[in-house]
Amino acid sequence: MTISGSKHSQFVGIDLDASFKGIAGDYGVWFNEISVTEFVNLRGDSTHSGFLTGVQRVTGVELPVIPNTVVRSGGLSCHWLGPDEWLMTVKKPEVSIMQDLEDSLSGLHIAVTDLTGGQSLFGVGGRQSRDVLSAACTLDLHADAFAQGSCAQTILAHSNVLITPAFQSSGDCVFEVLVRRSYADHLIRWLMDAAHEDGFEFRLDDNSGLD
Amino acid sequence: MKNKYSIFSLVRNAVSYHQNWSQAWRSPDPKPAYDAIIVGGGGHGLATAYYLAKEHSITRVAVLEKGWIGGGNTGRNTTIVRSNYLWDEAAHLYEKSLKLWEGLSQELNYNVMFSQRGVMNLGHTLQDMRDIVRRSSANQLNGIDSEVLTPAQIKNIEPTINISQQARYPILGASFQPRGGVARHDAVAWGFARGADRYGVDVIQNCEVTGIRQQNGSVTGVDTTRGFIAAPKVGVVAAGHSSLLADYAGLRMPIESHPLQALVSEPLKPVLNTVIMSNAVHGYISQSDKGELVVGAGIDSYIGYGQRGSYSVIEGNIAAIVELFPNFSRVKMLRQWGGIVDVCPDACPIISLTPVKGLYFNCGWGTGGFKATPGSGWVFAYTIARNTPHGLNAAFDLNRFYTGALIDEHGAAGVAH
Amino acid sequence: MLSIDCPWCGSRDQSEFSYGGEAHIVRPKEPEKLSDEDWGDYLFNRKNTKGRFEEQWCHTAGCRRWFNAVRDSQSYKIEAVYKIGEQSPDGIPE
Ligand SMILES: Cc1cc2nc3c(=O)[nH]c(=O)nc-3n(C[C@H](O)[C@H](O)[C@H](O)COP(=O)(O)OP(=O)(O)OC[C@H]3O[C@@H](n4cnc5c(N)ncnc54)[C@H](O)[C@@H]3O)c2cc1C
Ligand SMILES: [Zn+2]
Repeated sequence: MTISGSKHSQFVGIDLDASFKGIAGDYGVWFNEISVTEFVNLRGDSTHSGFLTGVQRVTGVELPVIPNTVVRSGGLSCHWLGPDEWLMTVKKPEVSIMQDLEDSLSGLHIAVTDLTGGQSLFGVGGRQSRDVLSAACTLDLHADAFAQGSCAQTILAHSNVLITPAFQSSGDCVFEVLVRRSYADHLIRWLMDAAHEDGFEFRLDDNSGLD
Repeated sequence: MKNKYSIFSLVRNAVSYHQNWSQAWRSPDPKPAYDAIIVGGGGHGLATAYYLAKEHSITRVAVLEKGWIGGGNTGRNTTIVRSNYLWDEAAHLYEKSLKLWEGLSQELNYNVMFSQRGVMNLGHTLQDMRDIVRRSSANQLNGIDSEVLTPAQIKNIEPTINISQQARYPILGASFQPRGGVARHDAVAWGFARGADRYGVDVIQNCEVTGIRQQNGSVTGVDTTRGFIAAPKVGVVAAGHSSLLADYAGLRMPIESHPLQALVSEPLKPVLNTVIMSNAVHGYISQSDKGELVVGAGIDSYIGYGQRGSYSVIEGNIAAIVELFPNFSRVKMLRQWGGIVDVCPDACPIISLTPVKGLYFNCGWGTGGFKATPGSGWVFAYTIARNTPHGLNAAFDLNRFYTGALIDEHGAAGVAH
Repeated sequence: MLSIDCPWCGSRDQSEFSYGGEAHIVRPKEPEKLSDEDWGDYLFNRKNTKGRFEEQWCHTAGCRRWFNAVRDSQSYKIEAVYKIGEQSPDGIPE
């Protein structure tokens, strides 16, 4: 099966039945699509208390000020991108924070930019997911170094990405990979190729295991 | 010429089992004073000394080399020789050099293995092709051989190249300079050293210049690891170390030194007929007479004096080569090394007088000065001997960074070499 | 291959960074008052130090922030990193 119509799928044009059993006879890696309804880039001064409270008013979360950390709450994630820059992702179609942020922060020296449609988010899970990602990424992805609550912007297979580990109750880790939409096709195909030895499959259950 | 190399000397020495060949050049101790000192025993420095003696009869000359001759970029480069530069000033300078290359083995009585197998610059985008047509036309107006090739013509010359339009960066055409080619890098240094030595020039190795002395605004000599050596004229040709020498003289230079790498493969049967360069995917490749594929990479972005570069640079470089020649993907690379290239803001050299009287600088050749070795030495010798630049290098003076008359050769020099 | 400490993100691979050359070059306040020599010097002339060198890097593929580093340009060892606006270990104010 190939997805052709859906505007929001990063898997457009990829044969989702192309699952492939690895040497161990099973699927060491799986990929799934994570649909996000809103991506918002936020810039502002985190030492300004009005800014922090203004954001919290809208999102219900405290902006992470520790580098490379993420705060998640009820379908909303807020990633640290830089000392004055964050990425918000909303996974609930009924919620939109764009306008509310602008209203709540009006008068402050800030920038709220709608990135929806320009980004893709997908999950890489399974026993071998860490190995497969490590083949094309210099970051230490081991849970000791890259724990729950971390996120990191880095390079994966020549593409700029934001990787966020999400640990399931079983202890298994799913890596959420955010990439610019135009790179998604390249990246998925690269990862499918890298996962050949371990075997891979596509899971269509959107957001499986993730918050 | 004493000990002229010829078929007769070969036969004569064969009789004595090649035990009695005389040294190609002496290893003299430095004298207290010379008429001119050349700092840097690379190809350019040795050529300068050779032409000072030969063209200008200045023979009380020392070439001071901190390591061994040709141990700098001269012995580390991928030896591409061509003259198809865009602007008149650069085209004339490199063409003068190419003309000298064409007679160099005979001139030096030393085989520099100059092989005019042609140099191709590939175009992968419409803009590449516009630039290629423009540069090729400019070359023709300057009397430099240059053709624009179609993919089919490229394939005809180089059958193993991938001209598929399915490639990520498909090959749309190329400029081709048939008189371009490659030479044997060490032989160029050795040939000029031997030639200069014949005229009485002292080629002094293991002698590092550590200071430049001046009095009343004129140079008086240099401090070295083997003591002070006096001279009223000092020509500095130190490539990646030019800024240090400028520092010794209290000058500032528009130069940044970067690592530049190259690699060679295991020897293969003849597979490449010409020299292939690509700006867009960034790689250049030729095949040496031993059969090794000689591959050049790009510079590391940072300043580096370490004669080694980053793995990511050669990784990208090899990816580029495999894109052009998919059949090379299984070839084993045997050796990899780096040089320190002296990069100038306009990708053109500095061959210039300086504010210090009697002190001359020849540097900034960056990633592409091997091709200029004889021409650079020829004009620099003129500049030192007459204390004024030759018409061919007048535009390449230090003043251009203050007047703004830069000679922007980033396009023609774009890929390192 | 360098491993560079971003002042925000910590140790990352060199491939995530872009280079910005010599640090602490101050843009002249009134360029129109400079002589051609001084303007050319500001634009083009560089220290190009062999040895301990203060230079600029940007964590392009990470937090996208510029910062300064003290690196030995011969051994490539990075001695210190510091944020733009902070003093260099040698006391050069930004
Ligand atoms: C990997 C690589 C590939 C390249 N490919 C090409 C190519 O394909 N085509 C091309 O045209 N060019 C190429 N180049 C550039 C070319 O090699 C150089 O521009 C050219 O060889 C410079 O010659 P030179 O004699 O000025 O420098 P060098 O050969 O570097 O000579 C300078 C000498 O000065 C000496 N020196 C430095 N400081 C002192 C001191 N204080 N006292 C005494 N001696 C000192 C050094 O030891 C050195 O031997 C390449 C360079 C590299 C590194
Ligand atoms: Zn960072």
